[in-house]
Amino acid sequence: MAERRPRYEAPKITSMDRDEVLQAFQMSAAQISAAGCWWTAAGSCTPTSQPCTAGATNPV
Amino acid sequence: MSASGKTKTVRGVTLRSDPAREPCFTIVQLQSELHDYDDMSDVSRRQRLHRHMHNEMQTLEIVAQSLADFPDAPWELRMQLARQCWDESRHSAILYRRLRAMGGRKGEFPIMNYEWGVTQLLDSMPARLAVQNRTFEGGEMDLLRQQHHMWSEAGDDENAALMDALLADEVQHVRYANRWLKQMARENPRTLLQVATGIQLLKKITEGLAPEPGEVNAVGVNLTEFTHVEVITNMVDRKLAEFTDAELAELLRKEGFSSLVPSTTEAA
Repeated sequence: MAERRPRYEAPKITSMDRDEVLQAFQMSAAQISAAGCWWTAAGSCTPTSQPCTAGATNPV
Repeated sequence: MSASGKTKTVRGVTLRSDPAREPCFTIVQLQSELHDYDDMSDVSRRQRLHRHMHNEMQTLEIVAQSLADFPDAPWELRMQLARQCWDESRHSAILYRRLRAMGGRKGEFPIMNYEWGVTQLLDSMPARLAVQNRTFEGGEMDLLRQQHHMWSEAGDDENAALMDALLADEVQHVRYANRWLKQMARENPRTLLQVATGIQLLKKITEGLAPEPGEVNAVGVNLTEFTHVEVITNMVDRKLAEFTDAELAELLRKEGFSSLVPSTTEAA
């Protein structure tokens, strides 16, 4: 009976530094959009294959 | 929906009750009740501006509420919140002007107070900055870049230029939040718990309010057939807003663009 028990594994602790926590706790616009609150659908004029790489022309 | 005092329940999800609105507005609780169109017809153009106008109104209220709720926040942060209030009120007024120029009117379409409902459940400044500025407005930067292209391709250069101008302001709103969050986290590690709490709450609410398969909105658009992948990370402007390379890489992964993440960043 005792032989069928899974091997004991010591608990593991994952430590994250400050930057890693901020990196992990993010949500993308696409994820937020899934809640149904954002909308960009516009037929064929909406790009679908590449991340946008053009910056604002008037950045502060 | 049920409501009691400061909160309301929508599809089993608790949110902050709606803020006051003029009688001309019809407030709804779900995206299925909104009039989002999937084209660029005249009515769709007015609806987009109307929705955007109301979004800016909400943001003004959210940021102003932070000033009221956290009177002991550092003065420099309070000044940035106050400046953001001015930006958001200006954005609302500009969008309202454009809406009227296109034959629209205030209250022409139903509105939803989603961002208000989420952020006003958060009881710390770091959580509000993380959810409102870093997440909602960070996402709006992605959205505005695409909307700039969208209006331009639809032949409306005035609205396209407006999206670009609004985007420049949003970069500043996200950047100051990123700076303060990093500074606050250096000074007090509890900040990170507050950020995590805020984002986890947003994730939970997002899951709870996601449309059911096949659900259509008030104008017959299927909400789940529409692909949300169209909202793509705006890398350049997010860098201006001081997201780190590692944070951007994580966002790309979340959106299914792992192949675009440089291997050196991936290992970081």
